[in-house]
Amino acid sequence: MASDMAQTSFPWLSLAIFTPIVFGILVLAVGRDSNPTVARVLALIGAIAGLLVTLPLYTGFDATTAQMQFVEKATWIAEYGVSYSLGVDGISLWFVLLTAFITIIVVLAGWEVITSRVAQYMGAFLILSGLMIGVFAALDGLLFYVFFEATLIPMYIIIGVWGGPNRVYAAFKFFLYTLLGSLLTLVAFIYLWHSAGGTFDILAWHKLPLGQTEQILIFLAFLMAFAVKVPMWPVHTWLPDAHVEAPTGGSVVLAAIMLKLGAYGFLRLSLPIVPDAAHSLSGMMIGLSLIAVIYIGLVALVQDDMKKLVAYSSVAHMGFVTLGFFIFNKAGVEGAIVQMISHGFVSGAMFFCIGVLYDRVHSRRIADYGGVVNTMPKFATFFVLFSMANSGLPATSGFVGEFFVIMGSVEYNFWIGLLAATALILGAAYSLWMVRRAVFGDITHQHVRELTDVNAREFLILGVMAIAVLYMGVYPAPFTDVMHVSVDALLKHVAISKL
Amino acid sequence: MAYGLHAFSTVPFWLMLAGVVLAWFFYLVKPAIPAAIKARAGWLYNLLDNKYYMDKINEAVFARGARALGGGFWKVGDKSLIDGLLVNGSARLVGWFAGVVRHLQSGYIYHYAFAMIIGIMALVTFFVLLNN
Amino acid sequence: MEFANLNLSLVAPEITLLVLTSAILLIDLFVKDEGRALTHILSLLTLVVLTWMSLSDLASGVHGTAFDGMYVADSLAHVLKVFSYIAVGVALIYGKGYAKDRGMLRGGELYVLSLLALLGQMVMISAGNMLTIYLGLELMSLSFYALVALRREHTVSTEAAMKYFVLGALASGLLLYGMSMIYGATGTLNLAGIARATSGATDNHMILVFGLVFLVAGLAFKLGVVPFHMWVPDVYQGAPTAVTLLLGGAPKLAAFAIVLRLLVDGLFGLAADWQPMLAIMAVLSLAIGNLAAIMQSNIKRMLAYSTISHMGFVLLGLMSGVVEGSAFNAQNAYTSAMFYVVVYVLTTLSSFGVLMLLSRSGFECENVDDLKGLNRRNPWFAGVMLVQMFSLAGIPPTVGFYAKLAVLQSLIQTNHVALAVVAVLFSLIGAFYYLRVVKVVYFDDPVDQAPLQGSAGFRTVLSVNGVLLLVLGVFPAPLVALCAQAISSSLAL
Repeated sequence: MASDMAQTSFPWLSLAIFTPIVFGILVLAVGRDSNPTVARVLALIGAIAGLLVTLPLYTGFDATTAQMQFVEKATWIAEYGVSYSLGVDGISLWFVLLTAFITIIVVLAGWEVITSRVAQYMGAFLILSGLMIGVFAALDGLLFYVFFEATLIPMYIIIGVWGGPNRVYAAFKFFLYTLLGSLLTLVAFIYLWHSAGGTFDILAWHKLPLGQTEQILIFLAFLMAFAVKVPMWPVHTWLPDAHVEAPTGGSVVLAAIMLKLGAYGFLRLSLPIVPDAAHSLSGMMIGLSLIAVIYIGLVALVQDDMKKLVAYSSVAHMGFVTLGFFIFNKAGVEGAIVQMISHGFVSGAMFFCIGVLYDRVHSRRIADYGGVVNTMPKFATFFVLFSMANSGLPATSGFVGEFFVIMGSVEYNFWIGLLAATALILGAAYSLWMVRRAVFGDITHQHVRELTDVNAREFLILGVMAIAVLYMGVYPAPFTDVMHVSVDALLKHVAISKL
Repeated sequence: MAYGLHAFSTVPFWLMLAGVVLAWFFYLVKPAIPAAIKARAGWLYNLLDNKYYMDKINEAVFARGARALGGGFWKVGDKSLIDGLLVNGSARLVGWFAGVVRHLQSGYIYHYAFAMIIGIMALVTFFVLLNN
Repeated sequence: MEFANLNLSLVAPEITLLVLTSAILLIDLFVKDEGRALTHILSLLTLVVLTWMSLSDLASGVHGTAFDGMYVADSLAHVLKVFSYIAVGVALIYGKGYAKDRGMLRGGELYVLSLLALLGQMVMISAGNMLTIYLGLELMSLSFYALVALRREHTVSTEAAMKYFVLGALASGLLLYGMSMIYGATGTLNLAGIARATSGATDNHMILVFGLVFLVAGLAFKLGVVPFHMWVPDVYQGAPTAVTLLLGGAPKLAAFAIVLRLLVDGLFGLAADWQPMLAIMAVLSLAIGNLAAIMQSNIKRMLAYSTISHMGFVLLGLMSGVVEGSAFNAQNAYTSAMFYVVVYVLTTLSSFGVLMLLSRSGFECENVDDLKGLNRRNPWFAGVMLVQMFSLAGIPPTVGFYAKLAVLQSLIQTNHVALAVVAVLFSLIGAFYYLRVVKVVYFDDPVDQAPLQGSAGFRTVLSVNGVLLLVLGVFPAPLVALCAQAISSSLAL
C-alpha cells in the first residue's frame, strides 16, 4: 500500500502547514501593542509566504491520477501506531489553496480595525490557518483529529477576545458543541485503529472490512462531529451566534474554511470508510440537507441582523453540499465540492462587506441602513455582486456548484431535484431583499448620508474576491479539472459494499 | 428569408400591429377614450391593471407566507426547541446536577468518614457477599 | 535481625536522602536568614544528587531486591523516583516566595518535612512488602499532616490538617486491616510471595476478596477517588498553596506506585475482583469530580475536584489490564495509567505555580475571578495558563490529550467501548470549567493590576513547565516509551 504512493521529494505540505504557524509564533513573540505595525506587516508577510508555498502544490499536481500526491510519511508515536502522514488529492487540493488565500484576506481585513492586542489577533489567525491546512492534508486519523481539534483553541480565543457583546456565550457554545461531536469521533477513530490492527492510517481504513452495525455506529459517531461542523440541521444553532459575535476576520475564516472541515470529513472519512452505512442512511442525510436548504432559507428571510442572515444562508448553502454528497453521483459530488470552494469566496466576501458597513456605522441591522448606494457606490457594486453570487446567479461562482448539485439530484430523484431547485428561489429572495433594503432606496438615516466609500485596502480585498467569484463562475475548469479522477475513484470505492 | 417573410402573414403579427395602432390612437389622438373606458369598465379595468392580481397574490400568499413560515421556524424551531430545549436545556441540566453534587461536600468531617464507611460497606456487600 | 539478602547498595538513594535531610535539619538550626536561602539551596542540591543517582541506576539497568525482598529496585522505581524528585524540587522552587510571605519559613520545617515526605514516597515506590508500603505511606502522610498545618495562625489550614489527619488515620486503618486479611489468607507479607500464592486457584478466595476491598479503600483514599475523596477539596483549598502543590504532585506518583505494586505485582491473580471495583470508583469519580467542579468559584477547590476526575481516568487505565483471564493488554493498560499520572503531575505543578505567581503578601490568589484579565497583565503567563487548562481538558496539541488517548485506547482494545464513551462525555462536561478559566484570563478585563511577583528562577522554571506541556504534546513518543519501559520491567519481575 505504501508502494503505490511515491514519497515527495520536497516536503511542500509540511511547509504549507508550518509556515503560517511559525510566522504566527513569530508575530506573537515580536508584536507589541505600542507598535502594532510590526505585527501587522509581519503577519501579512507570513500570510503571503503561506500562499506562495502552496502554489507548487497546484502547479505540480497530476490531475490524471487519483493517488495521493506530495505524500510525506514518518513515524510519530510508535507506541500507538500513529504516523505523521500527509498527502493531497483532487478533492483536498483546492481547500489547501483556499485556506492560504483566505488567510491573506483576513489579515488585511483586520488591518486597521483591530487595535488592541494586534499581535495576538494576527498570531491566532496564522496559527489557525496552518492547523486548517493540516486537517485537509492529513492522511493519518489521529493527525487529522489533532489538527481538527486544535483549530478550536484559536477560534475560541478570537471570538471571545475581539467579539461582540454576547461573545462569551457564543464562544462557549461553539467550543462545547463542536467538542461533543469530536469526542465521539475520537472513540470511533480508536475503534477503527483497533479493528485495523493498530494503525491510524486513513487509506488503510478505507479498505478495512466492517460489519453493518459497526458501520452504522461509526457513521453516526462521525456524523456527530461533522454535522455540527458543517453545520447541518438541527445542530446548526451555534453558527448564527458565533458569526454574529465574532469579529469580521473571524466570521470570514469560520464561513470560508472552518465549515468546510466538516464537509471534507464526510468525503475523506464517512463515505469511504463506512460506505454501506452511508448508503443506508443516505435517505436521512438527504432529508436533513433538504430541510436545511428550505427551513433555513425561510428563517433567513425574517432576519434583521445582516450577519445572522448570511450565517443562516451559509447553513443553507452547506445543505446543498451535503445533499450533493449523499446522492452518490458525479455531478452531485463535484458540484458539492465546487460549491464548497465558491461558498468560501462568496460568504467570505459577504461577511467582509458587512464588516465594512459595521466598521462605519456599528450596526448590523438592515433597518439602520437604506440608500447606501448614494454615498458608497463602489461598495454597493461589490455588495450587489456578492449577493447575486450568494443567490446563485449564472456567471458567478455560486451558480456552478448549485447547478451541478441540482442536476445530480434530478438524476437521482426528480422530486428531490425539484425541491432543491425551489430552494434556490429562497436564496435569491433573502439575498436580494437584504441588498435592496440596505443598499438601494432613499437615504433615511443621517449616518448613511455621512458614509465614506471604501478605502484602498478594502477596495483591494473586494476586488480580488470579485475577480475570484467571477472567474470561477465563468471558467470553472481549473477548479473542476483536478477533481474528476479523484471523485470518480471515490464514487467507485463507495459503490462497493464492504459487507 | 422565407421564414421571416412568413411572419408577416401570421395572426400574432397583425394583432401586435393592431395593438400599436390602437395605443397610438387612444393615448395620442383621442385621450378621452381611455378615460371613458376606465369609467365604464370598472372591475374589468382593475383586474387588468393589477395584472390579474398576480403581484398582490405573490405578495400576500407567497412572500408573507414565506416570512410567516420563516418566523415560525425561527422562533419556535430554532430558538425554543433547538436552542432553548436541547442546547441550553442540556446545559441547565448539567448545572442542576452540579448544584446537587456540590452539596454532598458538607464540610463536616464525620460526614466524610461516614461516606468512606458506607463506601466500604457497599463494596464489601457487592464484591464479597453477592459475588460469592 | 538477619537478612539473607541485604543488598544495601540498592538502597543508596534512600540512605543518602536520610543522611542529607538530617544534615539539613541540623544546619538549619544555625540559619538566621528569614528567607532560608541556604536551606533552600541545600534541599535542591540534595534533589540534584538523588536525581543523578537514580538516573545512573536507570541507565545502567540496576535491578534487584534488598532487605530480603522488602525493597525492590527496577526501572519503574527509578523512573518514578526521578519524576518525584523533579516534582518536589519544582514545588519547592515555586513555593519559596509564597512561603516566606506567609511566615511559613520561620523554621526550616517546610524543607525538612518535604524531604522526609519524599523519603516516604521513595520507600513506597520501591516497596516489595506490604509492611514497606505501610511504612512509606505513614512517613509520607505524617509529614504532610504537619505540612498542611504549617501556617499555624491560619484556621482554614488547621481545619484542613485535622480533616486530613483524621480521615488519613481512618484510611490507614482500613489499609492495615486489608493487609492483615491478605496475610492471613496467603501466609506472607512479601508481594512476590503473595503473587505466587494467589496465582493459582485459591480455597480462601472470600477472605482474599474481603481483604482486597479494604486494601482498595485505603489506596483509593490516597489517590483521592470517590467515595474516599472527600478530603481532597477541603485539604487542597485549606492548605497553603505551596503545600497543595507538594501534595498534588509527587504523592500522586507514589500512590500510583503502591497501587501498581500491591494490585498488579502482588494481587494480579485477583484482577478479576479488583478491576470492577476500580471501574465503579472511576465512573463515580469522573461524574462527581467533573460535576462538582462546575460550581466552584475557588480555583484551588476546582482543581481539587478536577484531580478527582483525573484520578478516575487513571483508574480506568488500570482496570483494563486483564480481560477474561488474558493479560495481553496489561502492558498497554498500565503504561497508559502511568503516562496519565506523570502528565497530570506535570500539569498540576504549573497550574498551582501560576496561582502562586499571582499571590503576594496579603493577597491570596484563590478565586477564579482573581485571574481576570491576566492576558492584559502578562500575556506570557496567560499563555502558560491557557496551555495548562487545555491540557487538563485534553485538547490537542497539548500533552493532556495524549494521556486521555492512551487510556481510551486501552479501554477500547479490551472492549470497554461503553466506558470509553462515558469517559469522553464527562470530559466534555469537564471542558466547561477549564474553558471558564481561559475565559476569565483572556476575555475579561483585569481587576487587580499589580505586577506579578516572582523571582527570575521561579518564572523560568514555570515557563519551561508550560512550554513542556506543548512540546510533549508535539513529541509525546519519548515519554510514552519511557513509561512503557518502566512498566515492562516491573511486570517482568
